[in-house]
Amino acid sequence: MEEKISKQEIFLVILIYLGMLYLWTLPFQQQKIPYGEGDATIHFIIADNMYVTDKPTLKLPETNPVFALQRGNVYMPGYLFYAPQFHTNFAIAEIVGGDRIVPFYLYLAIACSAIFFSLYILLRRLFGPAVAVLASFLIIFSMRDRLTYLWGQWGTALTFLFVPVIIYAYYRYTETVFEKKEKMIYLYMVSLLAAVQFLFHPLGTAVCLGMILVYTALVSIKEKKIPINSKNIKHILFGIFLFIFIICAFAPLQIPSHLGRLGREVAVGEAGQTPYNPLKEGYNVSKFARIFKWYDFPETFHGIPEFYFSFKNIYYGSWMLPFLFLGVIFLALKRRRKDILILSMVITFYIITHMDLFNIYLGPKMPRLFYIESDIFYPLIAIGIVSIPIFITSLIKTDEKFKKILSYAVLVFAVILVFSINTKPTYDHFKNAYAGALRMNSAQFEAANWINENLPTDAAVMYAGTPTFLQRAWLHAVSARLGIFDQFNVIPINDPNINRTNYILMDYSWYQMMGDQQSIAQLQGWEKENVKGDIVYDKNGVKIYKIA
Amino acid sequence: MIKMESKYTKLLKENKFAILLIAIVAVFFFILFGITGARTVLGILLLFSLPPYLIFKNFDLPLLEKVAFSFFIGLGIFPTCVYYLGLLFSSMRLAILISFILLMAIAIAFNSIYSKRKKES
Repeated sequence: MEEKISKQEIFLVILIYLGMLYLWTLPFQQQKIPYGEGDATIHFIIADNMYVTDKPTLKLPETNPVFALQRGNVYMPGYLFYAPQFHTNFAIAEIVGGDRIVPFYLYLAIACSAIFFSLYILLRRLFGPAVAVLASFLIIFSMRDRLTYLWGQWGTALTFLFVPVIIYAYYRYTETVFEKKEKMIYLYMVSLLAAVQFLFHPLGTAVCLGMILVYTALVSIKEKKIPINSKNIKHILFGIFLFIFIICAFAPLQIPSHLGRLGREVAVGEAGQTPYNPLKEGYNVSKFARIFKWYDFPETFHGIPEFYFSFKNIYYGSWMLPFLFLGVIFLALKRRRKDILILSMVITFYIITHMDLFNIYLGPKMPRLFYIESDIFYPLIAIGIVSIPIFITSLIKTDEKFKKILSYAVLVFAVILVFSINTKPTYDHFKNAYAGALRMNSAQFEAANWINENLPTDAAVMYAGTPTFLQRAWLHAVSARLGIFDQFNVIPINDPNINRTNYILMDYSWYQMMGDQQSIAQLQGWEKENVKGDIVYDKNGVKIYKIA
Repeated sequence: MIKMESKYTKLLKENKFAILLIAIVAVFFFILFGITGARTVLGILLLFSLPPYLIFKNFDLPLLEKVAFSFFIGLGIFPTCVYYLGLLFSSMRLAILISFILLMAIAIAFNSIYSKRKKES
């Protein structure tokens, strides 16, 4: 029977979620200028192209070769490499919102922060409102979720937000089987959700499949019965068919590339890179020691800084660690089906990140799987916190009233701790995300918009003086014209399209802001010597020349 | 006319709380990002979630599940429809409109067929 959720609880959940969105939208509340790493730029270029041209992106727009965009689709170079839904969602947001920047990031914030609801729905059914609300509240401050959201690995963020809700649907299906009230609708929900998830990124689906298999194995041992029988096998087969049909029908041009990439990631690593092997990558650890190590990823191929692989760095010190262990102990002691479900998620995660113990070496981006760790750890921490009164009252005889007061006291104490420890670093991180030279300044942004609105579509604009790669990349993205620039040089020398240059953007804006007279003089010297043409734009330290 | 009015009044009364929540969300985004923010958020919720919700509401599922499944599945269904119709009509804006009308029509048709069958059984 459906458990009714009180209006107060719904109101509280919405209020906390709006608090989350307030924090997560801080990077573009004041400064409505785009940001993110190279991956973010690529996504913006593809999605924004649909908004600017009012046509779906089938073939990718021409971009600076540093993005290697044309190689994204392995089997059909030059064609869209993500399933269409991925970038179309952003474009729809831009069209509906009537703007290029705010709706783009707002959709992103809403989609990525949907992990809040994904966890809530799973934990609400399993462990009640206290654990569900607390875990969802904790995820607001999750550094892993935040970093992926800010950096631009949005495929990873979007695929993993489906994990809790898919696991939930599968759990509901198995429950109806064990209770002999089979509801196949849940099985079909697993298929539909997994198909949409796969189209965002197949990595999340692989993780889900692992979790489903581990849970099925463990729960079958416990119940001495597998949740598959002659009655529902045809539904399972139809569910698998539905999954395959949807992914093939929705992304016929991308599926071969998706599968090819997944295969390479799992089997041999990306082109030119070897699979990830922590036992070899300059890391002196034995196989036996690996069994007991959760994090052991030196900074090599995966491109993630070392601090990412430390509980202390990622979870605001060690204060949540005892609660995490308490959560695991609580589940291990109880071992009900719902406890086994959460434990299965932990076990699967451990197995996937320790495949090297079985001589299976995953692709170089395997450590990025750690993104999902927080979505497993925070529920465990919440379970640990909520289990404290249960442990205490099992040791000391108390009445119901005391138990209730204790439960509230523990919850309030936990929330106070989170507010006093986790909130400030989270706020500061969002508030100061991509500050300074890591983001375009308003002069550059204005110039990029001017290019977009005034220059012909075949314009090839060289950027001279723009100090950082990210500023150059975003100038290129917002202007939606071919940008001539190098990844590492302030004035391009390596770009193979350099001879196609028909406009030059002289960018003094950053040096003027910094009062860097030496750089200004050097750039002026270069301009005098090399730039001959008519000035078509001159504003706030940015000049654009049309050259012959 | 009177019948229609009473239908809408009933709908409003039944969904007072949901409407209040949507209004809070819209006002929140209006304060943060002006009309662009409110339009984007309401547009995303309406376009992505409404058609699947109208289908899932027929099934024997708790409300929370219907809402959640609609949103997550809508993230894949609606944009894919827009993309391919956009290729067909060479306009994203037109494709959004047609996709929404098409998916709503499918949902309404599904509703009537499902409820007819339910009545018969």
